[in-house]
Amino acid sequence: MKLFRRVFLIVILIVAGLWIRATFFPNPESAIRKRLTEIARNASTAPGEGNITGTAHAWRLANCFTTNAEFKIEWPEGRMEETLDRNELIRYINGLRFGAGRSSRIEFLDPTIAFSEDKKISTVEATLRATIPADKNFIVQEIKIIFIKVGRDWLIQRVETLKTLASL
Amino acid sequence: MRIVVLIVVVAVSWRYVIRPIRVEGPSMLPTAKESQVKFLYRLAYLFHEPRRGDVVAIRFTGESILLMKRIVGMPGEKVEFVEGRLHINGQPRIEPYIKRPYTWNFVPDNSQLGPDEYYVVGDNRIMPEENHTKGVARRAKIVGRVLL
Repeated sequence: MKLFRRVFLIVILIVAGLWIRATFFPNPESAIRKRLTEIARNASTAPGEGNITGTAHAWRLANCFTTNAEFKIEWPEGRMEETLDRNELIRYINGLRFGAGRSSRIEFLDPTIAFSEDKKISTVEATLRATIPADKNFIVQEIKIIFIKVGRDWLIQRVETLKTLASL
Repeated sequence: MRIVVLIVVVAVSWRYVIRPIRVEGPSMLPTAKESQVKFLYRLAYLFHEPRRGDVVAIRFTGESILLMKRIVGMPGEKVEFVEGRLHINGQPRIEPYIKRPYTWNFVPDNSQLGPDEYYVVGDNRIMPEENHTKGVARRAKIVGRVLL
């Protein structure tokens, strides 16, 4: 019985140690993946979502960016290349979330994550899929996101779209 | 034991040989219709490079979602669409898979492909040219041939 207790205690200690390590000292790649999940969750809209909830998601999403984040976005009808401060970003996010309608789902598929030598900058390339369940179509776009490490947080410094098929 | 072997064989085949894909969108009509299931043959270009007329799958950052397009331009060639007809190096080409006439005029300033580049386009040319996803795919982005 004593032996069983000891083994059980050791297992509990190992699990707790792993949990503490993963939570408080995550490896950079896990931290970036967690960040992408958080961004996707806050960018998605749920049916019946109220204004307060929507604004809270917009704030949380804006907090994933640096105070002056750069955007270079191209889509079939136009392009946008500008730097947005926090307030402009929140307005922009609210507009996008409102425009997406009652329900939309954002996902980052197949992310490839690279780091600078000092592990302070991370470059992520991923396939963004935006789905509106009521609509049969979805948007698929390759994007590049540059994260920089600020304190213990990874914040987005730059977002740009990539072309899967290049133009002639 | 048989079930384990079967699972391993299916998993390996799926990853390295052949996998089913579901068609979304109208750009490959009438060759591939919405919601049809096709098969991607990954070993198609093991012993030779992609050929003109092949319907290929092109990856994004990974293979969760693929683009299905037809190769019309080969490395080093000049590609243009003039009055609803594909021109390669200035010469019109017959495309037997195009079933309805179209009116595209797409003559870029520099239409020459690089040594590692293929020009890909869908078969649905009756949709407006500006709404149709087409362009230059690097060889590394082509993951296999779609079996029709």
